[in-house]
Amino acid sequence: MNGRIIGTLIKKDVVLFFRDKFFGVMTLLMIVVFIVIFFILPATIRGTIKVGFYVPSFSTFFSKNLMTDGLVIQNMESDEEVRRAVMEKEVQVGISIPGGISALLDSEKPTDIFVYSSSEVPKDIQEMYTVLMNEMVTRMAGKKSPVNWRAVVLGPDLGGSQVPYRNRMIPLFAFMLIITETLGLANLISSEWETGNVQALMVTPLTVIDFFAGKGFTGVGLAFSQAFVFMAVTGGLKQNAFLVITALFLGSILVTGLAFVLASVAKDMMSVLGWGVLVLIVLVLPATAALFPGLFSGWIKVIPSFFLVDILSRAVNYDIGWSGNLKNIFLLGGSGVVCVVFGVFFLKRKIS
Amino acid sequence: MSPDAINVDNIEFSYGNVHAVKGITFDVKEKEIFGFLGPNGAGKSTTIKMLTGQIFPKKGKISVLGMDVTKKTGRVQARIGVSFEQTNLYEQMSAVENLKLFADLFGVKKFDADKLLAMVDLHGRNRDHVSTFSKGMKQRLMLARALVNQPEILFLDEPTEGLDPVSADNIRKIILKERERGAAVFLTTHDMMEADKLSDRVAFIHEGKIVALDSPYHLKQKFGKRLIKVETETASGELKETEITMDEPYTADDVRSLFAEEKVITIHSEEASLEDIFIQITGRGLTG
Repeated sequence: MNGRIIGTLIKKDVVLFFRDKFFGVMTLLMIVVFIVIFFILPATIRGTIKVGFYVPSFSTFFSKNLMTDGLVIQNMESDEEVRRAVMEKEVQVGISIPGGISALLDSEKPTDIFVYSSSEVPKDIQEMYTVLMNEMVTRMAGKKSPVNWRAVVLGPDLGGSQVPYRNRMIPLFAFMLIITETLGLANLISSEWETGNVQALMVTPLTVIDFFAGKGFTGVGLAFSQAFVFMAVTGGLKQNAFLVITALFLGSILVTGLAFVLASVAKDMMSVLGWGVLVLIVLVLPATAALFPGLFSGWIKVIPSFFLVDILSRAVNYDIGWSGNLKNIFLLGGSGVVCVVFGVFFLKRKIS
Repeated sequence: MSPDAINVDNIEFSYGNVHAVKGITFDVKEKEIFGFLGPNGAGKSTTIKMLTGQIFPKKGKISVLGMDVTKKTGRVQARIGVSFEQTNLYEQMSAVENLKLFADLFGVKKFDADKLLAMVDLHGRNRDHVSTFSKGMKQRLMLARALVNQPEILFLDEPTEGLDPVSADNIRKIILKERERGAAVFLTTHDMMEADKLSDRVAFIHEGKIVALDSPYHLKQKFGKRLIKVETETASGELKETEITMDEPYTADDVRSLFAEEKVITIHSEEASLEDIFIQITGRGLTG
């Protein structure tokens, strides 16, 4: 590899990228638009909380006392049904009070009452319901009762606070900025191939390795820098910054590999866009899943972009660090390497 | 005798089942302009690709500037310049940017793009995007690009294709200047007049094989017929054209009798062109 030659190629590619009216303008525009949208979206969350409620007796008492703005009560038939409803995200909080609660309280024996919550419900909301229920049980018994309040989180415990929509959008926007470079880089390479520029480059001291290194650095650099700027401006680097940066870097490698694959099959800008849209649709699904949890089932996890979006979402929105993202980091890095190897293989065949 | 700039020994190349080059052998001397002529699909471009290290021969050996091009591709490419038939400039970059890019790739220090652009008559358009250039201007810029590293061998693939006579003549002058500077020139062209004017030697390639190789003069001597074309006026006032083959025992008598018996209006000699010779050897023209 020749550093001087690779540097020359990168400089040339960056100049050409931003002189392409479509991709150059779109790249800059997307950063600005996503940042503007982020700041326009509300920073606070206001929503309705559904509570699944199982109490064999006194259900009317509890229902009436729990009536409040933004709260929907759903009476359930059993403790199992409450757990299932929470697991399947039909309700955010489930409360299960054993039958004969009145007698149990009178006997002054310790009694277990379960407050189930899904992993997306913030701890303060869980605690609020525990306090509320304790208050009502005390009122019903007419005295302080020996109740063991059992808070059970169903599903992975993501902890943290409830995430405002604009923060949920961060992984989606960052990913959109990165993935756009797939099209930009693929178009750059395929147009160089189409116009015979590659042929002209290949009769200079430049080697095939220099060529791929130049394209690789350009692709990773463009994708990473945009996402980095976006993250920095929107506060996505306030916590777990190194983890987020690592994820963005690995994601940029992934899309660069995909750009190589795309460039190897595409003949011109139109075919880049044609194939690229197909790839985008598939890759954007995991990002949407982060925005709307429960929309897709587990199959989404086989799409490599899921690992990137999941890391960003967990690190930025739930303050989960390296230990909780290690598996995703390895999978994202592995997917990136596989994509680059395939991309270089196919593109080299085309160029040679 | 000057050493060889290029030495090609029995090279072959196939694209799948298509045998594009079938064992050709030739050499190009230093400071020589070597014309490589043949119709489309004859194997010209494949040969250039092999000589410039873009593809490697399946059989045979190629030595360029004393180096095996398959083993020292990078070193060879650092000392050659290539101008392609297809315009392959960066259209969204200026003329200067295009030249500087390649000068940087070649590692040329103190590169003067403006001087090179003046040499190919592109001064005044240095900072304009190539997309605004005419075909002739692009062709000249391609030639300038091939010269950024002052190559020892210049490969020119159809350098005057589709150009107006003035632009074509400018390019021919630059080719001759490059020869004067000391470069060998490997030239492929359809234009037989151009090959005739410029080339020290020409090779005819047909269906992947070299069918003739010599100087244009010797090829004409060997294969061509020299003629005298005489235009006369008959008694009824009609014009008639008569061709008399030169260098024959009866030539002088035929000319004498024409002058004695008829009124000669015009008379001029005519040599066989390289095109005629190519047709004579291969049975087909070069432009097909």
